[in-house]
Amino acid sequence: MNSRFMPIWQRSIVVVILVAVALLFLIPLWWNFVWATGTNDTIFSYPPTFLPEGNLIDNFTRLQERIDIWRAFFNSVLVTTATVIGACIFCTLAGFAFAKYQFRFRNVLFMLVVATLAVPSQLTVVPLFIMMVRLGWVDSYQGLILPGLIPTFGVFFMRVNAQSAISNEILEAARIDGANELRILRQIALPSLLPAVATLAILIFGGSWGSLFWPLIILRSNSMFTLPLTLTTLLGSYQNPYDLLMVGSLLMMLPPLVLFLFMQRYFIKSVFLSGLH
Amino acid sequence: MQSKLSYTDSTKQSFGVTYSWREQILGPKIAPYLFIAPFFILFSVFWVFPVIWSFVLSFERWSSRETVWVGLANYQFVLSNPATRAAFGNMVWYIVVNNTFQLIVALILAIMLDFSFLRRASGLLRAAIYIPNLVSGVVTGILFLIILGNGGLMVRFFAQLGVEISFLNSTQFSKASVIIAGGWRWIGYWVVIFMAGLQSIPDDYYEVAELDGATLWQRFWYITLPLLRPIVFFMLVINTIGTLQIFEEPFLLFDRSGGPLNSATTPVLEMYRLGFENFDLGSAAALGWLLALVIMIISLFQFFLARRGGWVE
Amino acid sequence: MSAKKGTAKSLTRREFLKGMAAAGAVSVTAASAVGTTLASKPTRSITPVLMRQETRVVEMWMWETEDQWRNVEAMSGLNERFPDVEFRWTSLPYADLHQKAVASLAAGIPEGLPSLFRTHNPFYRPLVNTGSIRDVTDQIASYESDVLGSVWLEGTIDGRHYHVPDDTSVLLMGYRTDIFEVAGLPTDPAEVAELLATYDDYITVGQTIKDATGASMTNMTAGATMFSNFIGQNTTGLFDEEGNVIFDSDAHIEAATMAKKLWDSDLTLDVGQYTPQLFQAFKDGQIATYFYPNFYDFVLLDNAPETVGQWRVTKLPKLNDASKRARVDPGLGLVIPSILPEEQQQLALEVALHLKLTEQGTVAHMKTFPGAFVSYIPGLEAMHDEPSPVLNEQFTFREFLGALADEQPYPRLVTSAFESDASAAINDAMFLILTENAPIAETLTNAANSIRQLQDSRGIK
Repeated sequence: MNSRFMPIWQRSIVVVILVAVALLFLIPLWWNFVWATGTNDTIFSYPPTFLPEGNLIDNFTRLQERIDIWRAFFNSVLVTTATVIGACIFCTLAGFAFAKYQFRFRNVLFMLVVATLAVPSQLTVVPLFIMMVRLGWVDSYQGLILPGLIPTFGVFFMRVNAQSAISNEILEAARIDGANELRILRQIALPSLLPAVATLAILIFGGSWGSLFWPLIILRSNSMFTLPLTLTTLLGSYQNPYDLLMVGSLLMMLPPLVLFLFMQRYFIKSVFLSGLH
Repeated sequence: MQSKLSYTDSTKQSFGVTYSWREQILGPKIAPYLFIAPFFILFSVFWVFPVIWSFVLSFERWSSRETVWVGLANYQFVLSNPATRAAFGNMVWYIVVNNTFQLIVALILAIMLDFSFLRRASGLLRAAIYIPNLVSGVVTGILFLIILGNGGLMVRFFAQLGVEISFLNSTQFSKASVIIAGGWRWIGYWVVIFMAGLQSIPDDYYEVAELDGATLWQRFWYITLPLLRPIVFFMLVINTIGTLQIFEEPFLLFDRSGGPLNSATTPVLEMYRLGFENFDLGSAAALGWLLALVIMIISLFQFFLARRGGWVE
Repeated sequence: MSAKKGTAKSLTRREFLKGMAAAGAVSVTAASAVGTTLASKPTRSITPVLMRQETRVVEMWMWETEDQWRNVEAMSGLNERFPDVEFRWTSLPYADLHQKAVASLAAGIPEGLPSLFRTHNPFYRPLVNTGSIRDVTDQIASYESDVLGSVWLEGTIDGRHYHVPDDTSVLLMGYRTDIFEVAGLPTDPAEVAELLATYDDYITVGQTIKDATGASMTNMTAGATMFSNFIGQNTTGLFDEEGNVIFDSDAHIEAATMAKKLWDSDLTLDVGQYTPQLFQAFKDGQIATYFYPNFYDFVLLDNAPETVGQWRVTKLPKLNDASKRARVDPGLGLVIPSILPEEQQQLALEVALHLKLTEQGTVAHMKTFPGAFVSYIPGLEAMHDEPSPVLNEQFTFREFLGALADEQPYPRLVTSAFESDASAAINDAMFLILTENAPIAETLTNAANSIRQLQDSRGIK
């Protein structure tokens, strides 16, 4: 929203509120960081400290010795990247189609998509696993990636964004100009949808990166484990190296955060609605 | 636009233009099917069988040797189980509170973050609010155990104010604990989603309105909200579904139980217990499908209302 | 339509899309390349042992870490005993392991299952009820006299056994010698056992300690943990051998009454087990005694090492004359899925027996997992001279084994498929009793009846 004429006092209030909220949200994470720099017996001292200690590197070294974190990192990156790219493509295409076209079965198919959101994922895990065993895809990358390529909320999300961001007039104008749909997709739809696609990419990345349940069911060799799974193996029943877990947790948060900050540049205000070419 | 003669589109007949097969496939009649095809092909492979399988299972009693058809017995068992009833009962509270709390806070934050005077700072603040969504469940559980648990920070804080309160061990505040932990995790998520939509409204619209004398509230109500109705609708539907499927927060906060006296339990948590602790897969499937039914009814209702109000095309 | 819009911006977008598409293509190809190479491991298949004669594979799902299990594998002589077998260990924390095991069993396909997995006894009965795990009674029958009595009874369902007994857990009364000293109390274990002869004595002593040092006697939350401690000394837990609900019996009511008395005495600290708050309380000297499991040495080493040397264990106080002064918690077991081919099951069974019912296997286990307490008596006796790293001049194994031998505690029977529902019901009941002064006998009976109703409506115990 514009704010050129917003008085200073209003601006100050906004800043104060936002900063306060941001700090509130960050405090538990600060503890995560502080604990990652401590040692196991001091980290849970009570009340929790706010000052970091100096064991970060040491903890990280021990983490690497205890579990194969780089292998897990690689697995996670591979699976998540493939999932994000595939899912974004599929969802954007389908979402755009549902939003801006009239075709037979449109409503039925869309309702079907939304209906599947109603089914809790735990219900489908076992039959999916059966399929994977029969295909021989247990403990494989394909088994991990493929079911994640169809996040139905993604289709819903792209549909509503396409509805908001692309006006029908532009589409008609383009068609009258003789553009075929593929061209329309490339030159009108996608640019307008860039913030939405970037958002979807972030959300799917976050979801896939942190996903624990499906990898848990389908993977068996510790060398195929994704990052969240490998981190949970740190906690045994006789030893609980929370300091290592905290370092691992910090490491795990970095890639999505980096992606998020990188994607900021695609959160540009749309210029299409105000200037046709 | 000269092309080979093969098919004539009646609406364009007066122009004497004909279209090749290539142009048809990429035309507005057939293109949508192509666009949805990739998604739906995978969808039919990975959804149809699991859905049918679990649905059939809900009518059976599963065991390793044989699976026996028991008709509606599982459904009856689930409906008569006090824990499940408590779970569905809790849901009413959860939906009302969770939707209002998470969505309204997220909306307000997103609007504030959208102010152009913030420029780069907006991105950083938004990141700060979104990061909690990236923290793994286990760590979130530990963090909130320390904050909300007995002898925890909030409890001590209140004790110093003279108020004796227990979050995780009381029936009154167990649900609130779930909402607090859930809010921390998911408000950033909604902020990010809503902001994607806010980007599609150019600042010029607001400028023009402001120059015409519109206040902040008026700009929000008459420009932002109408243009973003589809997105707000999306958030409402997805948040409702998400609330109905809450599982991780109570699971982690109450050590795999549903809070004292089932005060904070949720249907999916009960489903987990039936399936994984009692190993009663048929009943777990039955509960899952009951929940799916409830969700579908509520969502359909929301869609119906939205279509009537013009929120969705 | 000219590309006159060829400003820097639209080119950037196009670049972005092209870049994404390229990256996508690259990663998909990379993924499939890597995937196929990794997936084409020749030993992927576990079942057709008949077809490949070179190696047989035994895959085991456990918790703790893979490295530690490799250590066990080496130390226990598994590779010498089974030279042609490849051992694979999948290690995950218990809750996750359980989910994975249940999902795989539910799928019902042998290729999706391991040869062996570890389970916690409360989940044992549902596995037996659904016929998912193999009956091993005949194969372990000869070991009966070498396995701890309570563990043997715990694993018996209708006279049969379906698991190979793994670790177990014994509890005694741990106390802080430093706090006791300040309060002017004896610190020798035999004297403390006399001092804390009954739970009424326990409360009296607790008052003395509170007055002298301000420390709480122990930790207690508004749930069933303390109740569980007490009933373990007098009964077989929540169910009897046939799976009947028993927690509204007189002994249970007495236990609940004593728990309430303890709660009301204001001598306990309201913090949960294994919470940071608890460990801080240990460090601050706020807790004088603790219901000490055999493995707790290492929990304390990890979380409250300042208290090393300040603890000792002695026998538990009595609730009434029939109480045993030690108790056990439900243990662990190794189970074999029943739908595997017979040959694979046989091999798995032999491996399990070697790991858990031989001296070499069990000693390897206990040396790799400090604090573990197996169920195999010769193995436990071999660890007799291991001093405790935490207890003041005591030998953990001797203390706990000795207590087991002296007291012959009740087994903690988990004979019902509704064990987890019963735990939840008892937790709720104790919550009401402790915090809302609900009438004890009535609340317990209601809880018991609710579980009986569950059993009736499902037609199984």
